[in-house]
Amino acid sequence: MTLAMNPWPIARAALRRRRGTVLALMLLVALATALGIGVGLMERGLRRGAAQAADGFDLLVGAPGSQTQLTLTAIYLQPDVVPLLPGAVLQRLQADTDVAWLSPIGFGDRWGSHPVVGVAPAFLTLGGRRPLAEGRAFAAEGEAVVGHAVPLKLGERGVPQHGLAHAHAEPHGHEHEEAGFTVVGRMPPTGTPWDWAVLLPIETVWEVHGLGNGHASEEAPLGPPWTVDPPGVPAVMVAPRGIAQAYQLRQRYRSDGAMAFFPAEVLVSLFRIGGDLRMVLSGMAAASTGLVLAAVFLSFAGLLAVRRQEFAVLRAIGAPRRFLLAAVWLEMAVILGVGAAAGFLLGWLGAALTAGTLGRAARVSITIAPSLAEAGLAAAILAAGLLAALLPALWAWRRPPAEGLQG
Amino acid sequence: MPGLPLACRDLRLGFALKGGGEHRLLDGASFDLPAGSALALTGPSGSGKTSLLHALAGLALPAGGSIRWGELNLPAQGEAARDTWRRGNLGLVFQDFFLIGGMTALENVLLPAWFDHARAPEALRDRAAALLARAGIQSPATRIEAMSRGERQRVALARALLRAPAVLIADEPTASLDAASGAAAAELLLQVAQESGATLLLATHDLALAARLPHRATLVEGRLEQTQ
Repeated sequence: MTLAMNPWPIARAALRRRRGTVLALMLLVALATALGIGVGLMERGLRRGAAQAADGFDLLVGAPGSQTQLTLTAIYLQPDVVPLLPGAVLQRLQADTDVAWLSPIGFGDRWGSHPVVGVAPAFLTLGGRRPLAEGRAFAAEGEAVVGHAVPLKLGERGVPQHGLAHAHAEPHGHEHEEAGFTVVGRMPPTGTPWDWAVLLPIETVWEVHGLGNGHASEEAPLGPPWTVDPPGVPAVMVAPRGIAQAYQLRQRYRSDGAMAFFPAEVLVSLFRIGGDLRMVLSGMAAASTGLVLAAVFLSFAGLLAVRRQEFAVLRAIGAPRRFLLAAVWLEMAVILGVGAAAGFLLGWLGAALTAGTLGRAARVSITIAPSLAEAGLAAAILAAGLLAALLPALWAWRRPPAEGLQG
Repeated sequence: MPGLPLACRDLRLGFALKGGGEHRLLDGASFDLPAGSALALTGPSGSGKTSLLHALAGLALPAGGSIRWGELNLPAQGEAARDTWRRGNLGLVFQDFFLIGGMTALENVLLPAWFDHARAPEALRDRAAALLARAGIQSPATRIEAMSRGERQRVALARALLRAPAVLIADEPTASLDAASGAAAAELLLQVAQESGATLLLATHDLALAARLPHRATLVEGRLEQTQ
């Protein structure tokens, strides 16, 4: 006995005869697969993007209030009115030996649609941990380092408008000529709204708003220590010397008008709330995938039922039962295979487009990268379908041939 | 392939009726057919001609008795063995052709080769082309749906002949054709059966066609009457 056979012509003929139905079934499988894969990809992309966003923000210190609000403000640059941390706390922090480096984060102006944020030089490179994409850190007032997505070249000049802070006092806004800046460096991409920000020395932001520069003389180098009455700031980003110091710092700056916390923890708890929603969403996607596959399976079984005569004829002219089994199975495999492959690409494309649109709106980068999980899901759908296809195939196998030949 | 002799002993055919009892189509018939000979089977509609042919082809099991093709008692074989026997020894022709839609004439003829070959051997491809030419099919690459009924029956005949079967069984092969197409199909069937030496069993209502075969039997009320 030989196992060689070629059931493909039978499967192909069946696919041809019902081209419309077959295409519709393929489309259903593709949509079901795309849904499952797209939701998974989006979910993971969002989670990863959010986790990345907190990268570098070890410890935030601000005025007591909402940690969530301060996190969103400092990490996602969401404009919001937050209480200011007194300058005295900043002075205590810069003298603290557990601090490796720190940077105030001061908001105020805009350049076009780009927020202008005042920081200390150490922030630009995360204390030397992350090199700039090009150029150098600012070394004097009037110099700026731009986020990766800001459309300014090195050496170009910009003039910020009086934006947020004074928008109500001066509704038309006016340009701060004295605060014009020259771009000297560019940050690497971070996948956060910081990519769209223009970073100036915090001293400039203070001076523009008539708050002094925190230094004894105009010639003092940028950055800490600010010895002369530094103004209040919305947040200070603190890099501790080590893990133990991080917890000690958090403990130390939790009172006396300060609030220290780990923004990563805030994000984790935010995502925990979102986690239930994600599960509901994933569950719904899985359920609709299952329902669609069940519908595909039923229509396929229906298609086979009307072909009982064809199967009987094949048996009558000598086809072994395994030939029928293989032909039916092959046919379903083509429908499922094409559907699942198209669905994988469709889900990927859909998730990438959605992530692009969402990300542009929120100025957050959501990286959509299919992993083994998605390929596994597509393969699981395929495998489940192929296994399910054995049932109608076995049905074709079991029918006595003479039965189907009676008119 | 030279024909196989047929020997049936005490062959009983029937089916169970709803509500009990049994409807007997054939009540203990014994008959022989020499290898390479041809038998016309006649009888009124519903007399069980098709059931008898199905039993002789191993498609259905008789209620009792033996059907011996050569040395092999077909009803005693398992389902897979009967499939194999049909594939190797039998050519079947049906009243309604039963070709596979969506395939060309040539593909339909080659179909039996694909039951046990991943790719039809060259010899079978040549034979398929020759059979179609012999059957007067001009364009073997035409889909079967585009062919006339007469052409389709000749394609079905070519399919039955592909593996040069030792036994040919035809169930009313001309009944659904017009007179001219039916005559052409019948002529082809009788010619190739005679040339190949296959044993031919042919059920028909067409008494003129039946008269052309050397052996004739009539199935009536559960009895098989041989009419030489």
